[in-house]
Amino acid sequence: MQAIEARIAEILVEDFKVDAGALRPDATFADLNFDSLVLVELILVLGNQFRVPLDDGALHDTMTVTDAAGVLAARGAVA
Amino acid sequence: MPPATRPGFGAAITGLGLVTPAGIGVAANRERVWSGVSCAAPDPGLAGGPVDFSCRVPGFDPGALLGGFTARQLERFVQFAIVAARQALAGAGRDPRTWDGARVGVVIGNSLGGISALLAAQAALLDGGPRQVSPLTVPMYMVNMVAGQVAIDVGAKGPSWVTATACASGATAVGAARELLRSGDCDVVLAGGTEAALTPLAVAGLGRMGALSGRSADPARASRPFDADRDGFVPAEGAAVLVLEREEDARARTAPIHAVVRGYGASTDAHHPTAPEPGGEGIERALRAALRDAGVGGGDVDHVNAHGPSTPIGDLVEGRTLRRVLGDRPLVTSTKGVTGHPLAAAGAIEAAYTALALADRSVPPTANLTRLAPELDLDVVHGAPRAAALDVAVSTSMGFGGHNAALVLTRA
Repeated sequence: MQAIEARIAEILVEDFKVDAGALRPDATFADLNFDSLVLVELILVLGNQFRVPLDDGALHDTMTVTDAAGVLAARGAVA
Repeated sequence: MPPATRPGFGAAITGLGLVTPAGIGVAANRERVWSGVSCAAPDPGLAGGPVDFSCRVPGFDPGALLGGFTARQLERFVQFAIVAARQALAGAGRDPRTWDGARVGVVIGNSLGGISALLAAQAALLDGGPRQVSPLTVPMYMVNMVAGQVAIDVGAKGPSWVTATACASGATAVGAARELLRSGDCDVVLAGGTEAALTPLAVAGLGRMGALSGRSADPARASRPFDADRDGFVPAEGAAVLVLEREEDARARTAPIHAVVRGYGASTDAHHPTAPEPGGEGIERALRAALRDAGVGGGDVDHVNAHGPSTPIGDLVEGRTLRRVLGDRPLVTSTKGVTGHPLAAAGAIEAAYTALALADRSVPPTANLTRLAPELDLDVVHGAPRAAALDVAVSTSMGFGGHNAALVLTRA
């Protein structure tokens, strides 16, 4: 889980150019200014990176990076 | 007289934002454009193609200027326009936090949209199927998005739209923006043009039309408007945004005024999709309409910032028309010798340079003009800037589709 979280954080910073300083443990995607389209783009990128099937509703803007890692882990993702 | 019919109605240019091959900001543009040194250079993004050089905006760092997260969601043509709009507003002393946004409009010219986003999405589609297409594809490539995104960035809640008249788009936008002030629909309008389409696809398409210079061996001398040895235009990118306000409003708040847009005229050749009408009647109608709208005669014009793309036919048609309508008195220049041809941004960038010329009373030289085309009888400034008592100036634009536009500017 922690490795998945770390990889998601890396993708957020390197690909989505999220300010690393804004990535606090309790920050939701809404807090990080993800709107519905950017969230679908994130789902697309994470599905490709972790090679797991993710539908467009797999993540919500109320989730944190930890929550997203949980979703990915439940789909069989490994970091 | 109702405002909509007031001839000579003045839209004061109170702010200028420039993101061009000549630099970012007014000072950098003034220095490079007035130096007369071309910006054309080999373009690694076009390497291997028949035309492998262009005029790029130097040192544009969207992450530093807009924040990485925001910049990632914006195509380059939108990034340029937002940066130019912010510059222009700062110069005008207009603060979006304090204005009535409903009275602020945005009119921006664009032609080729977010072509890079479209190409990336097409590659993803072919590679992985429709579910690999980014949900940002459509909002990134649509041409209208630049008006929508600038409006979001500055809180402009009045009318907004994109003008698409090809290489006349920027001039069309400035003319349309002035009408929003003349009608009373807006108190402030951000008007401009933007283009960032220097992809191998777009350049190959333009090259296949025979529109581009083939001087790959000597890019710096390739853009040579009105020169006898011109052979086509050099593709460029860039943006300009002008803050326009009613002249009386600008004077009442003692705003800085670079120059005043006092006339606008537009016409269509209705002749051929891409070739100009050879007699120049189309651009003549636009020019005469602009002079009439400004309430000035052809003989009053001191300076012309010509469209002058450096194409054999375009420069000839325009040059003859300028001579016929304005006589041999005006000091003519084409700043495309320095900037190349930034397509939909050209008219707005050149309106900005025209304003600077009026304010500084100095005409920038036409880069690379060493021998005037023998068919032309014009005073084309070249070699060095020319100082003169400029009061009335014209900027002309001609676009594929047969779109013509002319602006008349006067000294503040």
